[in-house]
Amino acid sequence: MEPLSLLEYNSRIKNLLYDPSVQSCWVVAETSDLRVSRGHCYIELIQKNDAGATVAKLGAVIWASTFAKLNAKFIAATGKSIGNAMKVMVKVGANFHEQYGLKALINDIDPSYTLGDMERIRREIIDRLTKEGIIDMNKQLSWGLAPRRIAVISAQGAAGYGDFLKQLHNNNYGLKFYTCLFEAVMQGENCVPSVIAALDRIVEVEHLFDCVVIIRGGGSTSDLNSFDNYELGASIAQFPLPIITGIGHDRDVTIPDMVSNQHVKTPTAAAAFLVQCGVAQLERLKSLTEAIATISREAVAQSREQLAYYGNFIPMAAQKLVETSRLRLKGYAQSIPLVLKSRLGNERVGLQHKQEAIKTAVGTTMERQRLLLAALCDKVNLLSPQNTLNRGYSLTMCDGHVVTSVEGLNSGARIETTLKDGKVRSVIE
Amino acid sequence: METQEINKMTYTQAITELEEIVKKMQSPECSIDNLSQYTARSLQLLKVCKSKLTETDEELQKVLNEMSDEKPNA
Repeated sequence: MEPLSLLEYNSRIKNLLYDPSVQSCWVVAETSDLRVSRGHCYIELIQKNDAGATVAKLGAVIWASTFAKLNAKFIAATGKSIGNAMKVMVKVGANFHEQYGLKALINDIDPSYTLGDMERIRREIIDRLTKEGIIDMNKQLSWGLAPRRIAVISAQGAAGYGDFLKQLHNNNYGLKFYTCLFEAVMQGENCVPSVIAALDRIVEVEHLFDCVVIIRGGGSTSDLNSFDNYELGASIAQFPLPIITGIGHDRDVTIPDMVSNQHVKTPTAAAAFLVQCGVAQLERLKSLTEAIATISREAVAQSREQLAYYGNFIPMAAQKLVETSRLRLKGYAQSIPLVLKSRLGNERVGLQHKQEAIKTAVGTTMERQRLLLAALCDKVNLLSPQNTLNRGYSLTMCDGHVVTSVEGLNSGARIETTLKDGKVRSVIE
Repeated sequence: METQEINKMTYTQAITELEEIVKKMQSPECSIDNLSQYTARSLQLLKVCKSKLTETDEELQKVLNEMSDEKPNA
């Protein structure tokens, strides 16, 4: 048998592949090594076993004319572009080119399959964050009363970042904000590590900021796939400052949106949120100003009323006081004679009693003195010289002295003897 | 509290004191003498709060400008 040329052999293979069993088949696979070149999308379709080892591999292509249509369909359903590491369901036909070899030509895609798988991945991330107890940590951080120092994670020069700054700094309320950009790649494969690195830089100067805003700088919504990432979700959830995400996704809420303190749809909305916080404080200050003014006004009015009341009250009170005093004086005037009379009556009775007592005392004393006198009189009478003379005694005097002894009496001396009824003079022999 | 200290207060500290003062002012026990004292203090605090929201803190602005990744020509 004549050997075949390679071209002939490849042609036979090519012909074999016209078999309907390998044409227009829906195949599920994982995408890998996706690249777009001149509008054509080249993908490696792979299948892994439970251990993660590749067990099947097939090169595939979506020609430019189909790719634009399929990718638009895919984005419309999933919000993301066809990318790497996605579970996809594609309609393929085996095509063998003699020169380029085997390729699966993709001519349709079922986004709902990918959507389901993405949702499963999201669910797994959410479950993990929940189990670890960190999913609500950033949500639970309280906002300062007026967040004004804002660390921004965005791509420099991006339209969304510009919109954010414009909306924030040109607010109509004169509110002053301070922003500091921590640049990050906001799309593509480097997005997650870049945003995490920016968060790490902010943590080092955390004390300078009130909050963090993560905004995507516009562009296609097809690169959001990378945001549904556990590491990024965990970093945001555990971040010590409240985070606002404005990464722009119309349909789904990404993992960062789920775990951040606030999530808004656009960078402009993030700025509006911050302005609104400031406006709320301005309103609070306004209401306090009004309260103070009202209190002061009411206090002055009350004081004025009080003074007016006193103004009326004082003459009345004075008049009342005069009247009261007059009545009191009158009362006193009436009561004085009565008191005096009563008092004099009492005194009079007292005096009478005292008079009687004095009289009695005088009488008693007089009687006692009289009796004493009488007794003395009797004693005097009893002891008197006359009474002695009467009883037969005599009293002899010599030269004016009473003679009680014979001594000293010389003869010829003249003596005078007193008797009961007269005196007799004698001369001593 | 001295006026010098009031400028060092954070917005949160200032508005917290302000609200406490207003509460005291609203109390029926507040005498007219205290009221004028409170009013003077509250007006100072209001001024501080408002300036914190609307006036530029040059020092902070400078620090943040130096730190920012934003290039001057961007």
